[in-house]
Amino acid sequence: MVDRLPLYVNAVGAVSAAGIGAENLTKCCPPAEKEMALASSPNRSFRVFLVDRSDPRWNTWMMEPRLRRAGAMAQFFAEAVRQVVENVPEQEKSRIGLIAIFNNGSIGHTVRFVAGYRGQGRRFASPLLFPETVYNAATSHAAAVFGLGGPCSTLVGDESAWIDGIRMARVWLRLGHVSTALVVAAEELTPVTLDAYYSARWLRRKRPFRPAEGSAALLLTAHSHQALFEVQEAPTNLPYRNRQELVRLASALAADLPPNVPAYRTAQASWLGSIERAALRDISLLDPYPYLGEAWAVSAGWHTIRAASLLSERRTEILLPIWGTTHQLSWLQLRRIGSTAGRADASTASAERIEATKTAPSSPFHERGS
Amino acid sequence: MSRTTVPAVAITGIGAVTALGEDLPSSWKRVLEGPDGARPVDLFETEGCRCRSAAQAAMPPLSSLTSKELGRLPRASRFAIPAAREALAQANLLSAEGKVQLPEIPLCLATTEGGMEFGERFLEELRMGRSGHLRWVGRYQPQQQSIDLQRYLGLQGRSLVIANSCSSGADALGHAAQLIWAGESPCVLSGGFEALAETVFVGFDSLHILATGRCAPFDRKRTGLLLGEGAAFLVLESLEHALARRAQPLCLLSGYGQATDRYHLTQPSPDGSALCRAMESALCREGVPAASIGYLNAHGTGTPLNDEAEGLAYSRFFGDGWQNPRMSSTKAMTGHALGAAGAIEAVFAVLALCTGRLPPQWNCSEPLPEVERALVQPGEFRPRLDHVMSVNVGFGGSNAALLFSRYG
Repeated sequence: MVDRLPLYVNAVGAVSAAGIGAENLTKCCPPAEKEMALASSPNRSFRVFLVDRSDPRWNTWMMEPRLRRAGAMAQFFAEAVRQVVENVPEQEKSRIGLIAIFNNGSIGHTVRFVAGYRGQGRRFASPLLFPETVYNAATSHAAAVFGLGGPCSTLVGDESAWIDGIRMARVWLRLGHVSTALVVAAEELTPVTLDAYYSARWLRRKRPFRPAEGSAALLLTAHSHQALFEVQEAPTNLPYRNRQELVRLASALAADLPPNVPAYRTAQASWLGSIERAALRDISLLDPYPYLGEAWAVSAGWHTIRAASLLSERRTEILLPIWGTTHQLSWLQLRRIGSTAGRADASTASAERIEATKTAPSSPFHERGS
Repeated sequence: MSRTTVPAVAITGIGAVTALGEDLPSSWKRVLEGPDGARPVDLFETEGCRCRSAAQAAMPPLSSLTSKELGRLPRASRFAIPAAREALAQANLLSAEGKVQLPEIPLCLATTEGGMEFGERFLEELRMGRSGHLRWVGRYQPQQQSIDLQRYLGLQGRSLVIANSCSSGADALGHAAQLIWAGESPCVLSGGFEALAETVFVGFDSLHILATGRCAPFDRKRTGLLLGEGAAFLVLESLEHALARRAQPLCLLSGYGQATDRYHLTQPSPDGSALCRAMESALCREGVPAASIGYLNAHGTGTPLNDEAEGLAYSRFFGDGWQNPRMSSTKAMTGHALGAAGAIEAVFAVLALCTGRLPPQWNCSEPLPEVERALVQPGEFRPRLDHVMSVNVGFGGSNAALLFSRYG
């Protein structure tokens, strides 16, 4: 094995029920929950966290020619990409690699396509809808809209795919294939998705679990110059087959964690919450922000951005366990730029930089005053 | 990272399940000799579709699994498990119990639809006004084949699944090589899998790109592609790792290039420039000249737009009137297995390199002028090939090229 290349986050982007822009992730007030009905039973609804799609700022993406047939997920994806590349010079975009991560994908289009050919007959299946159901459609749209010229790859999986994406970025940077790598996750929530969660018995009125939608993005480089924070992913993900195996893996993971590094809680509301509490019982836990819901790798992205905002002179490292809901356990270690534990040479405090993004939202929607 | 520290990547095992055969030797024999794998689809109803045929594969036996276990497996997993076992066995990494002997090796996988048939059943239940059954939706998740491979092969390492549409298989192999080049892992099991599903079949039919007759890549009268299914797996390891455990390398994976075509979601740029960039990138890692490539397994779907753009890209890259590398699209025989295509075709390219026997271009009686002198004829044999290439192009503008080189 070779020494692992340090990886730095230069920009972050997010769309969530809390709002458009990463700065909204660290608001103290919880976003409003909404009711969504099951596709199978319109009289039965559950609370969810939805992106406010009535926000006029979404018109930007609805009017974008390349996205005219795309669904909400592709728009969330594009918006997160916009937030992180808006300050990147045009000539540098040609060497940005794009790594996209999805779980459900464009489920709204898939449902419409299937309903169309089953309802009207196969001969009348929509050739406009079908291409948008392909997993990498949103990736392709974003590369075209923003002129990203590096390699593009789309990964699918549970929350742990966020770590796979960061690892892929590290490999691309190490091999010199890209100058910068953009890791983006996006999900959309539909009544059919809700039915899927319901059939998995994750939805119960009294449980805190809430499905969510949105996107998250990190712009990664191998240089600490102007970086917000440093990120290091686990050397491997740990697959599990059942709860018993996960408990064993979680205990082994906890025993190997570096001492005196606090952990950011990420599984409070899912069925993994009790395992997380037990495994990390001897570790200082951080949990300062209101719950945003569960959206697979998107949640992992939100947690990354939120945890990084807690880095400070006194708290130079934070561990971020990533509990894959169905497949793999993994983790990230976040470091403040310039910390003694880190390898960075930049002196600017990451917390100050992230704080700056809070007070000066990166969205050009603000600049337009819309 | 300095070039001298980058390890060479050896291929030590290959396996495949296709519509041509339940294992690699039977698939390879039919790629060389025919006939093609096209047959009427009987997996699902195709009434109303313009095309009603596909290269539907026979289900390979999995004798070590109970009927209950088999009933739970998505069709894609039924292809993936035997193909992976075949590759691991050739690499001498499979125990007598059918488990992998290096359980920590990572998986680098490719698909475009995974267990789509389970998703379709779930949607059908909802459409009928019933609550969806967990069995269907649980096995529709995109990482299901990772879970199945880990369970039935005893794998305990990490896995990732790439979904870059039709270039997914090549990209999974390319990224597996990158993991070794970057020192992330000394050995990776990588491959692609795909199962025919009604939604995807109807989707391609709606685009009017399925063949109305025989699938005829690079033929002037081509009418479209033949959908296929199957799986292929390769064991990649650093040469040092392979030699240390006395494995016999079949060849080296010496280059991988990827480029994104931003022209259109479903149509390639007519000038084929992204494909040229991918091939150039695959060659430049080891400084291999294009003239050294002896055989090219082309993407060659048989659709009017793809083959025209691809032919133009090749004539730009290899020169007008090119005869070398010799070239064919094996999709005329196997059908287009989407996420598995890149891995299946990479396996055929490796076999061409190892045996000197080149897969002919079947079903092409009136070739496009850009490629007509390069198409492999039945029975062609090259006693010594130094390099072969396999390329794939996909929806979303994904272009990938893999370079395999002779070992020893």
